[in-house]
Amino acid sequence: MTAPNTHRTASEVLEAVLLHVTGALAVFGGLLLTAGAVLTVVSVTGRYLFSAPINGNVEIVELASAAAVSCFLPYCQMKRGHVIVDFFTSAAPDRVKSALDLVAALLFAFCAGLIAWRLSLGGSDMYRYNDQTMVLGIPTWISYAVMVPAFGLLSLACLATAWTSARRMLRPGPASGPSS
Amino acid sequence: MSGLTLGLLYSLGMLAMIGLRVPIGVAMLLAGGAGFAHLAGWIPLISQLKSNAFYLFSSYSLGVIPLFLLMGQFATKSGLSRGLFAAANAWLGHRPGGIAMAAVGGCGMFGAICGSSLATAATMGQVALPELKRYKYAGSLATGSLAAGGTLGILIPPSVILVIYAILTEQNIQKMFLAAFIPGLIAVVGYLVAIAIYVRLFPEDGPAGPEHPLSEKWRSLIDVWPALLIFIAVIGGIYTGVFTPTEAAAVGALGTGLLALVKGRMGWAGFKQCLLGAAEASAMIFLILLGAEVFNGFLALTRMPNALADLIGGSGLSPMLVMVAMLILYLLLGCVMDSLSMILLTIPIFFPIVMALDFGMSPEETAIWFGIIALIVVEVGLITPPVGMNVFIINQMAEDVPMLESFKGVLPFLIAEVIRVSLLVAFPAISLWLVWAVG
Repeated sequence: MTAPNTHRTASEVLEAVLLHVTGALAVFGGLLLTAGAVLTVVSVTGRYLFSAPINGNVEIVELASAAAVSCFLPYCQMKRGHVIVDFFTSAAPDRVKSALDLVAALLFAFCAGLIAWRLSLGGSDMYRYNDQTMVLGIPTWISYAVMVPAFGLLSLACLATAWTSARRMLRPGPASGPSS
Repeated sequence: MSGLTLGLLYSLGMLAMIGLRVPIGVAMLLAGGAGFAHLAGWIPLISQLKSNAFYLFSSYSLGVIPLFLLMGQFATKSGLSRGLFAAANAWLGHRPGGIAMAAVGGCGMFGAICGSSLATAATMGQVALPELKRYKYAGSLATGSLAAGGTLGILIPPSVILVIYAILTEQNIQKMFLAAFIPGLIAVVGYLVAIAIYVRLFPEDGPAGPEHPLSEKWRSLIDVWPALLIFIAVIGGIYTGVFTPTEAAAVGALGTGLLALVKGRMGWAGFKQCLLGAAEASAMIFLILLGAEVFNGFLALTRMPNALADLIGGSGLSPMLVMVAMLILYLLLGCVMDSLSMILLTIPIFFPIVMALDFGMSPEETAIWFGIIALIVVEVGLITPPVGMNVFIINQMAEDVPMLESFKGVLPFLIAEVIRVSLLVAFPAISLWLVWAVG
């Protein structure tokens, strides 16, 4: 995006690094999802052709989905992909929009951080009570172990986008296009 | 304060946040969380947060959503759209307005393997716009038919939003898909008729393309069969109960993925692109789902939905009048909001109201019928100003067509939509017939 060597601001570097990291996490989540799909198809084929489904296939898919979806969230934030309504503010000056985006990103960071914290407690409960899936007895804390860092990263991603918005608000450069 | 006032107050707070650029999911999360804490205290809220994201994200039935999105990504990558449009063009192109008809037909077929309106419009736009330009179609008709054609993606199964409605209202997904089928076909026919009438009035806007020899017509169908096969496997599987919807989505995702691979259109980079595309779209949906979960938990505490339902149900208003009022509200909301957020925001309130009214049908029939119509009306927002996303996307791709022209081009299709919705409201049997026939 930015030309090399023109000195990049710290917030731009942070954005670029986080986009990379969150992208890698999203691909990891996508691979989990794909693996779940393959497993499901194998199980369905087994059920109909050899009347031998994979036992507990559903459980694996569920645990994988929970982890996968969480892995998608930070990437979506870095891509500014979460749905906002900009109808009522479309006429506002860029500074005002950036200020609102800053507040929104901070609120989001708070929510994500809160959920990360609570999930870490939920996960450790699951670990302590040895919560397992019904058929295969897979410990459920495994999903939490992915979800907690994912929500943590989401919170971090929100802070990074908040920083970018703050910079835009304070130093409005040459018309930087609508940020949606 | 009564539950009703509190519910209203926090709903207003949420709407204010949404209006001020807070992501919709976050606004629902915050308002719902605060309201819940207000009524039940912080401790229950905070202990719920320990696990509700896990239970929501790990729900097996919601697993359909990322899989359908992945399937749509693969389908877009596979280049199937080109073959589908070519086939539709071979059969329809020689008529007046025929190439626009082919674009609509192509959208309908692509919508059968892709559950997203935007993706359908964008993919078909890439293929069809150059053709439409080559035959000197007016910019308004060209962009209008593609933008409208894209909305077919939503009603012709597999449809993500249909799945969400079904889960939200605890309806059978299989029956919802069945009910959507005939209204989807009516939409295709309605759009084709709209084009035919339009070019009769303005012949120079949509000239006829060349006649294709019969042999070429049949040959063009070769490129259709992979899409057809996947559609039959996925939707046929759901209809007949061979697969659960989640299984069908897995089969579809893998099928389209293999197809893209076999056609040599997807390497590791392309595969990664598909994963990222599906990831972004899934994240968007699941954040709103999480917010809706928390907000609905709060609404349930206030008993506001039930109170409103009793109020309206007991007011003696004619059920049809209430229904029409809701549909008009959807049209208005559609001017500022995307369809998914609208459904998630309104269904918890509207659905109990609808179920409290007597339309002379069983509760299940009412739920299915209302769902189909609500989804259509919500989707109309994609092609109406000021935020018609489909129109924006196609208009951007067409470059030389002014936005106003594109919105003008959508007009004939909007008329077709009004007629279709009126028919579906007046005759519930259109939606329910297939459900009865199979069930």
